[in-house]
Amino acid sequence: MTKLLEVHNLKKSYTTRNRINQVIRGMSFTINTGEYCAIMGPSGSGKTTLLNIMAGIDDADSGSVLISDEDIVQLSKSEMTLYRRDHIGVVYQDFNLIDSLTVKENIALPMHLEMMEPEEIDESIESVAQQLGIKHLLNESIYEISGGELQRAAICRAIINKPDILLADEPTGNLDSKSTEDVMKCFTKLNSENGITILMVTHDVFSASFCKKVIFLRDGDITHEIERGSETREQFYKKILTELDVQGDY
Amino acid sequence: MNHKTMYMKMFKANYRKSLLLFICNAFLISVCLFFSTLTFNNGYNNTQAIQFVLEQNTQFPTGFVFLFAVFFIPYSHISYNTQKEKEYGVLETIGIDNSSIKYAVVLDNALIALSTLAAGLLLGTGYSVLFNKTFIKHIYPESTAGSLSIKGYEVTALIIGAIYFVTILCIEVYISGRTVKKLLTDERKAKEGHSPSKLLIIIGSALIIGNIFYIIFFYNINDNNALILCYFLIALGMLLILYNSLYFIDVLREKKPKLYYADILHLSDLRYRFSNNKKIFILTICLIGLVVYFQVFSFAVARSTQSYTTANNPFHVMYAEFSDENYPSTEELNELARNTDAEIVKTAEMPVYFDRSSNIVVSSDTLNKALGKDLDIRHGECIIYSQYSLDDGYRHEDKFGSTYSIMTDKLNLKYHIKSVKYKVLINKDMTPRYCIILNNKDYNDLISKAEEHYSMQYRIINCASLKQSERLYKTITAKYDMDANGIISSSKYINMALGEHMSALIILILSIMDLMIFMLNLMMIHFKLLANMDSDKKKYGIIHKLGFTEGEIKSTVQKNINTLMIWPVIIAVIFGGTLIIGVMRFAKETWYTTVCVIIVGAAIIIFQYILSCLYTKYYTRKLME
Repeated sequence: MTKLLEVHNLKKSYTTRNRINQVIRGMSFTINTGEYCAIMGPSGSGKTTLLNIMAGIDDADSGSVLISDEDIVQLSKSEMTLYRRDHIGVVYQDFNLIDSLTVKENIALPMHLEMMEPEEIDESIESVAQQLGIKHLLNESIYEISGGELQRAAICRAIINKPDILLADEPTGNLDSKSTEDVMKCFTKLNSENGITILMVTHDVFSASFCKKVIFLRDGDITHEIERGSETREQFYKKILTELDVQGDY
Repeated sequence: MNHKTMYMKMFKANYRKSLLLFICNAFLISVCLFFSTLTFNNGYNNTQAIQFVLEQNTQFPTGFVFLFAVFFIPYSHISYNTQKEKEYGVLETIGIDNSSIKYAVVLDNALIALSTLAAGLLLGTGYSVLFNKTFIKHIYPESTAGSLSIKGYEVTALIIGAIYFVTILCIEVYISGRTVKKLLTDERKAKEGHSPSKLLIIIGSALIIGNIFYIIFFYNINDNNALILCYFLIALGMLLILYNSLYFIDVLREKKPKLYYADILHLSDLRYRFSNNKKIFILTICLIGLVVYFQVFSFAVARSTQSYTTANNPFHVMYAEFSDENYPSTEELNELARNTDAEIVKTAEMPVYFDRSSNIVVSSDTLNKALGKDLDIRHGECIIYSQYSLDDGYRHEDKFGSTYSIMTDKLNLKYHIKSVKYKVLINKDMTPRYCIILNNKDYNDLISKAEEHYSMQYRIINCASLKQSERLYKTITAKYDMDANGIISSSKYINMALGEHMSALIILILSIMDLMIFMLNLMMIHFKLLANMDSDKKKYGIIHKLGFTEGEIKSTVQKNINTLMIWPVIIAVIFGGTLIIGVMRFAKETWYTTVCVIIVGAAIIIFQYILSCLYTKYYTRKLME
């Protein structure tokens, strides 16, 4: 497997009025193409900050984030925006769908940025919507569908341009258990069938148990990581719980 | 932290919003005071021209700005409170009771209202003083107009106070009726609106085009009802198109999907938020339409006043000489002219008789001689000259029978009307209505039988230049003390100067009004955009995360702001422009008015576009913060 994402000695701190808060302290790890990885850790461990830096939404103080050998930390703001458009798909906890657009228009948005032909856009949308089970909802307003469906629409939007990597920030944080399972099955399907590399930040052990690898963070650094290997999801679920128990995080 | 401290902290956090509300409303109140001062200030009465112009031209603007205040003040306060609703909801969830919140809301709004009223009155006083000390003093140096009018202050304070009272009362009632859930919920939902109808768009377009065509080419100024009906139908047509304009977006999406998707954020915003913006869209059309109408009206009136004054004063100087008074002979006049550096190029005497209807009666012989006419009138006949042109832009409903009667205590003479001519024969100051031209014998017969004091002689003088005529006129009126003796006289130069001053004052007052309407409209749009700021911030945050560059976001914001700022202005220019062109058509100023509409309209659109670009910069910066 080839290396897709390489994070090397990444550091990030926030300065408040009275003190400097070191959120990420020289973090390094690698994600290979086709991997399906969860990042777990307690609140304040730097999960979301790490994801935001990898998505180019936040800046790093130092270190490098190489995606397909391109160091995104070195890119200017506008270069990063264009890079994100072409190479990274992001799914957020609160869906971040635009309420003035229909489900279909929301999904199509990244393709319009690329000035693709309407026929090509329609074809792609139908294909991903079919795969994630929301084809019948394409012409609905986003106020008319459930949370799970909204998140699946957001996933469709994130993958429509075939990004190099799909980043997800607590994608099931706002969902009930049934919707959580639906969304996680979608991720699994995208990873296994389409070979999409997925990196997901989550608190939720159940969600993390769908992944092939889990990286644990604490106080801005990686403590350790575990691989699922040939274990079933249920076995991996128990393994994650045990790890968290050992670390005393939960 | 007690309630008071908490409210103070909240007030501080919302300081910028409060300041904006304060500035906008203080400005509006100052405008109200300025216009009510113009309307109610008795100090202007000592200058007849100012009083006339103000009486004719300030009542509408005054009424309008107060009417605008009736809508804008509640609107701005409601927008201000809507933005804070969530905070009130949070306070209620942590256990602060509704009455405490109501108290805080009322106190907040009342404090803003009071400080705004005080600042507005102070600012308005400044405008009034500045207006009197500069413009009025410059145009009418002889004016002693004061700047303060107690009645103006009373009217402004009373009306604005009442508006504030009702507004705060409504807000208080509104907050009482809101549940915690409602306060916390963002009720803004995208509305798809009704299904647009192609048929209604066609009907709307036909109504607009047909009526504009009618106004420009066929409208008769004497038919007021037709004009009102036309504009009602045009307004109806515009509403039909506006309310169904989503049709165009649907067509674009269907027929040209690439174009639609290339601008999807802007077009979807139009589609889903149209119902949110249509009121402000229509209001902007009305306000800017008024700006165009009144600005062009002031220019067109200035021009028609100039041509009207020229037409109504065919001679440089005229005055009446009574037989028992001592007036200068032609030789003495020439002597006076030499002393005042004036050259008399024509002078004539024209004996006239004033009848009971205040019309002058002249013999055809003297008239032919004095004015170089060639009228032939037989015994028992008369020709009537109406002292106006039929197409002077005013309504004339004079009706003549077959005879004209001249009655005195002893006489009742009737003359057959040979013809009625609509033309100014002598200066209008000298005879406000008609000149009755009689056969020479009939005239002599009338004079011999009539009371002597109704007979007089008009002196007609033309000089080499208008400026010279002014000097000569002033010298004659001073030497023979005509004003004190109540002798009617007329000077073309003075009438033209008076017309110019009045035109300048009309242009000035209407320009001030237009500028203020323009600024008030901008304030309204600003409040509207401010109310949408939070949801826009969220939306543009999302699309930035999706990969939209700042430039692309700015371009979308620009289009959205243009929708509110430019398109209604373009429609308003067309609407206001056609109205004024139609109105001025019978004043023979169609082309001049059309040129003014094009210039004023283009200036407003360009200015609005510049403002829109600047505003986009400001708004984008706020969104990106």
